[in-house]
Amino acid sequence: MSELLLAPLALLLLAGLALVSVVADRALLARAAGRRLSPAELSPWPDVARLLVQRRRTTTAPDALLWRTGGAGLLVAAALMLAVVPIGDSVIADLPVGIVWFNAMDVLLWAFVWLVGWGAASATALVGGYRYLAQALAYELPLMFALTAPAVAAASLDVREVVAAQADRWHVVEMPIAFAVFLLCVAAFSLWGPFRAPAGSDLAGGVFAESSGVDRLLLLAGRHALVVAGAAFAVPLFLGGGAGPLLPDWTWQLLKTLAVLLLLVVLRRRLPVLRPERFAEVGWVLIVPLTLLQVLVTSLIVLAEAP
Amino acid sequence: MGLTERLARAAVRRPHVLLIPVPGQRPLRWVAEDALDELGWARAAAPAEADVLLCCGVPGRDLTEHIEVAWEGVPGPRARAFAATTDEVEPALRAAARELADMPSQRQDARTRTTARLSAADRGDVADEHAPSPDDAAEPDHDGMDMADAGMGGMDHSMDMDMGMDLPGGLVMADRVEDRDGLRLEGLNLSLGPLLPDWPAGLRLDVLLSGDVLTRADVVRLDPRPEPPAPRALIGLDALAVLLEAAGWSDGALRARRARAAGGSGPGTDDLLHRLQRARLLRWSLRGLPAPGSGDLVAHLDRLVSAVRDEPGLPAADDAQLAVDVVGLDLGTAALVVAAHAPLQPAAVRV
Repeated sequence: MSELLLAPLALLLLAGLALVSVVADRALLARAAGRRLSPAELSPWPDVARLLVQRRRTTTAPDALLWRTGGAGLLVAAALMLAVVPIGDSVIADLPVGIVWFNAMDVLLWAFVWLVGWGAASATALVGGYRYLAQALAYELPLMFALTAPAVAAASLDVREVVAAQADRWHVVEMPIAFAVFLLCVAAFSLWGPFRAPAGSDLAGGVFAESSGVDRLLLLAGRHALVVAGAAFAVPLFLGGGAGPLLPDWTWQLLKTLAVLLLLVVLRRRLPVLRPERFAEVGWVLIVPLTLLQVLVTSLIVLAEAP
Repeated sequence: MGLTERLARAAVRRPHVLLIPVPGQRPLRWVAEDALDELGWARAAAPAEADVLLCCGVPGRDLTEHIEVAWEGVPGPRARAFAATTDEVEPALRAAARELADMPSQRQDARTRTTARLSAADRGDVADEHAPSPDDAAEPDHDGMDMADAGMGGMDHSMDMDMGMDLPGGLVMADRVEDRDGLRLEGLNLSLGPLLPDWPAGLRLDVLLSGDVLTRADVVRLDPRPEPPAPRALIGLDALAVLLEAAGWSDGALRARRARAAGGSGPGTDDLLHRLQRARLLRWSLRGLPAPGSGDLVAHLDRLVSAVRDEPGLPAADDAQLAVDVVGLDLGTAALVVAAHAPLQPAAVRV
């Protein structure tokens, strides 16, 4: 495929899949509320139109530059994460350190989300921003170790080589813990479902509390895009990339991404918010050792299978 | 038809509504919540997110002041709706949606607002909550604003402050106070409520905040009035709905509201109670937090479940206890503890 077309295609896919996640979420909501599923009920259009019409809002002494930078940053980070995901057999940015790149984009989110909280110059938004950092302290190390496992198995940080290493056996088989932890961390860096405390209603919307109109649209779209990027990255890392019978590579990849995405959407509605201070304990006492154990097991498998 | 009109017409199909509960008007809030669930409209967590302010009842003088501040914070297109009786709720919502779609009047509203805000800023009496005066550390500032409206025009004491440094927006540095760890952190006087999500009607919590920890709290009831009596099962379900929403389990809260709308018994209620028995993550999340009456929030959850089964034991809200309980908690956790008090009557105005 032409490298030139790849970037617009990836962005289209990002937008399309983000819309799928919105529609799936609305379907679950409508079912829980006992409303009939209809196109009008599922359409994300009224929500988008509402935020496009709504006026932008400001506070008394906002740090406007940083506030807007953070707001746009979520979408940018999601797009940059997608840049290292191979689509079919081509990839937008063929980095030898693709996995580290993904991790770096996730760390960039620390700054972006905190800036959204800081920029508004409001107590609740700022507390929300710090909550995100507190939460990040609990999930970032597990995420790094979860990313380490496939890299160790493939002896490479290049995402395409990680896919190639799964020719015989998908990574999820030998590293289920890393896969599960990775999904949790995707939810966490996307302020998604049980990890939406930084934007929780107990803080009157937290980091989102003061944003309206286009600013809010960017934030919400960024959140969905991040979940999509995370789901898309899980496929080459753990689910064999485009490997599968009969259908072409890219179809399999899309189907697997959709499956992971829908799993994350269901997860979002089923669980209550994990209070960050409680989750921190679980993160350090339980999840960090588990992921370390996972890396150890993976390393032993690599040694045992070495020729 | 212009693009804006077309967008506006699509936008009003799903407005976000900030519900304003009024003390003594609980039935109206229930009807309003059910109407939103039925219409598929969203509940706004803050004025910034809202298109419509719906006042569930006739507000008293103190509450009206807070509503005015919140109204300034609604970005627009915006509409205000009042319902004095349960029959008026749905027509009020529909009228608000029509008003939202009326572009000429919305434009007019936007024009008049900008000038109003500018002139207020010129006079220098738009102060942020970052501006407690030194005396405020000893005497909580009762002229604060809702925490969600930070910086949107609440009147503070900035005019008579003499330590004014030249900071953005005419704000003043916060003073430093002792926090629970013996550190000297900045102290921030905030008034939380009464227009927060999952919050008791007319309750205002005046707090001193160090970082995100409450180091002092006072409970103020605005325009207190007793709630009309209701079946115990319905009060239990209502309390569950508020607590679950605050704990971030929106699906459970929705189920509780639907069970309440269905009259407090039937398969929906049984299903909810069954789910609550198994909700390990929720219980783990609530464990050890102070609850109204005795025990922690897990015990409170079980009391509410018993109340739904029409067994006695629902405690009264105790404002003095609440003010003690929230000290030392962080802002979000404190809001969760307040939410547990939300649908309960303070003993003083109990019917």
